[in-house]
Formats: sequence, C-alpha cells, structure tokens
Amino acid sequence: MKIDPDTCVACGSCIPVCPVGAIELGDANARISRDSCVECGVCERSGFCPVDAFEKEELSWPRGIRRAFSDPMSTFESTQVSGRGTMEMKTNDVTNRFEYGEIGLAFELGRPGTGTKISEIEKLTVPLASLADVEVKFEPENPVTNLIDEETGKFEDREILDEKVLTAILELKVKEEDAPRVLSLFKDKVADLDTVVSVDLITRETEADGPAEKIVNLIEENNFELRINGKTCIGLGKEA
Amino acid sequence: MTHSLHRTGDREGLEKDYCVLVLPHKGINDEGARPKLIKILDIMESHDPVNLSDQMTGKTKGRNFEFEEIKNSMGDYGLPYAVYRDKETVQKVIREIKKGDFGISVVISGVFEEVFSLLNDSEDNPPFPHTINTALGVHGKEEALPEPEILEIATMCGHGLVSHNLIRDRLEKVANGSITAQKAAEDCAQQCVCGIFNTKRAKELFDLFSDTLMN
Repeated sequence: MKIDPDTCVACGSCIPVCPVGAIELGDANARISRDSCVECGVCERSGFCPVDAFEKEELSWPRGIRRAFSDPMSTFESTQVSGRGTMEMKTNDVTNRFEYGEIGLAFELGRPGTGTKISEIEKLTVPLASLADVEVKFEPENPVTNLIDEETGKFEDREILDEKVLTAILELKVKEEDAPRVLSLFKDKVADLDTVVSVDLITRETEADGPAEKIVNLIEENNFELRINGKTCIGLGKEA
Repeated sequence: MTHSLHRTGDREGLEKDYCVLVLPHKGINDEGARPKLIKILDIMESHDPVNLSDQMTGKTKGRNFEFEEIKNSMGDYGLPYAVYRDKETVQKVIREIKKGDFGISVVISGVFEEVFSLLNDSEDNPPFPHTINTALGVHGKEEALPEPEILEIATMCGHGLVSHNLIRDRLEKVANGSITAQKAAEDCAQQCVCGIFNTKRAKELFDLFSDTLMN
C-alpha cells in the first residue's frame, strides 16, 4: 500500500485505523512503513481518508504473500476461498473432513491483532512434521500446507520467511488418542514464538450442552482454557 | 476461516451475540445455489439482524450497504452471514431455513449452552450439533496484547481488521465527548468485511469502557 504524498493533507485520520500500526505522520504527509505493512487493505477501505490518498500497489513475489494472508478480500488459488483458512468444520456435514475419533486442531499465529512473520510458522510445522509415532495430517486445502514440504514442515520457498502477515492459520487433524501429544508439543514450542497464537479444537463428540465430557477432559488435562462459546455446524447441509 | 470463533467477553455479553453463517461447499452443493442463498438472505433480513452480509463481496450492512445491493450483487457462490442479539430470534431464523430445506450448511456462533438449547427447542426433528469448534485461548507473546476490554471489541471482527489503536482512539473520543458510542461502533463496523461485527454490542461496550477504562 502507498500514500500519494502530493494528495495527502496530513490530517492524521488514517493513523489509528491500521491494524499493525504501520502509518506514521510526517511534517507534510502520512507515510506507510513498508516493513510493517501487511497489505491488509484496511486503510484504503476505511473511508477515513478525506482525499483518497491511498493507492493499492501491484505486488510482486514474495511481497504478494502479505496480501494473500492479510486481506480477506483476496482469494487463495489453492482454496478458492477468501481469507487465509479453509471451510474447516463449517461444512463438515457435507465433507466429513472430521470423523468421530478424530480431532481437528488449528493454530492461528498473529491472532488477535499482533501479526506474525512467516518464519514463526516453521517453529511449529517443523516439529509437528517430525513428531514420532503420530500421524499429523496437515489440511490439504490450507494455504500454509500448500507452501510447506509436509515431510519436513519447512517452507519450500525460503524467500517468504521474512514476510509479515496479519495472521496465518495452521490446520491439521490427528486421531483422538494422539491429540495430547500435539497439544503438549505446542505448549513446549509456543514460548519461542515472537507472536501470539489462538488455538482451536474441532470435534464431533458433543453432549446436551456442549463438548462431550471426554473432550472437556482432554482440553483441561492438557492445561488449556475451554471457552464457553464457539461454533456449531447444525447438520442442515446435504450433497446436491 | 475461523473468524467468528474467538469472540471474548463475559457470559452476559456473549449471550447477546450470535452469528449465523450459511455456507455452500464448492464442488458439493454450490452449483445452482444462488436462488437458495437469496431466499436465505431474505429470511435473515426479515428478522432484523444487527449486521448482515455476503462475505464473498464484502458488502455488509455495517459498511453501509443497503440490503438490496447486498442481495443483488451476490454471485453464483455467496456466503450469507447475519448477526443477532438473542437466541429466540436465531431460533426463528433456523426454523425458517430448515423449513426451506435448502441443503446448505449452517453454522451458529455463540455460547454453546444457549446454541444447543435453541436447537433442542426448535421443533420436532430439530437440527443437531453435527460438529463443533471450540476456542482454547491465546498463547505465546501475551505481553503484546492490549487490555481485555479492547480485545472484547476487536475480536468481533475475527480477521483482525478492527485495529486496537482505532478502538483506543474511539474510546478516548467517546470519553471526551467528541463522538457518541454509536458513532464509535459504526466506525469499527465499517472495517469488518465479513459483516459479523456486532454494532449494538460494540455500542454498549464503548459506553461502558469509555467510562471504566478511560477515566
């Protein structure tokens, strides 16, 4: 993203709108830090600039990865879904991506609102890929999966490691009995990350008022907080 | 795309915050889905949503798009989303969608106990919790996070497009009387392209936190 210095009137209206604080006010106009900007497009869409000084740039590789992960209005070619993730459990009533006996896990780096460098993702994907005696199935439609070597967990294109994005979601599933190993590994590695991570768990096991007791136990025994709210796919989907 | 999962707050606040997401799946039930999605949008709109959108176009009520424009610009593949304030209304919306037998996946975000109870009370042969997604908290560099009050507003846009700095700026402006809490909530809703930002809840939070956080 750029600001046209000849158009900008240095009013400062745009400064707070940037999710990563990349806009600064100079003497004559506002400026965007290219290093900090994640190309999310919020500043341009916000409607706060009184003179339309923001200009969306054509981005070359590897900078283009910033927009792909950060701007929900861009679409990943691999998923044809806008945003940085997949349909995960939302259409599980027609995909059966998650069966009984399986646990879906997602690690959302940079959420809420801190952003992350792509290199941080490898700090989880590499140890996950080499976890002994556990079959970690990275979600094949997920953009991160499409960028890593699933055997090693390393990004194939090393040029992207320094790029910064608003969030990146790592999606995987494991057998229910293997979930504690993955959660424990995450707890071991997360302290080394230079960002925050929101963690999600997907299951088909439910009882009258929420997750089944064995899922609650799984979460609590691994020292995670179970929040009272979440998403429920209510089984109205059918194959056409 | 787990954007409605990580909404924070106390139970009282979360019980006034429900997202209903309708999602055809590409290659399974998306072909010819548009007329069904339009009918679903009509159902959603008839129950006075706080916010409503087609996530594929980014046109939302919170971004000041009229309902007819949201509806008319929906393509062959659309994602109707709506936000409601109470479970009784969500129950009515779900009943009508089920009655239409559209065969398209529906997800409700909200307090599990309330969502499960509204399903159970729906009618004979009600919808059922097929699969759930639970949030297990935020980990890692937590010192980079703002106050929980800021997060309570920010997490209503799961993509993180409502910046913490914008919320802080608007809280200050509400506190010093230069804008209303309603205007602050609208400024934030304008950034959320999925249309799941709950403007009414945000207005209440701006009223509350401009007092407790800024004074």
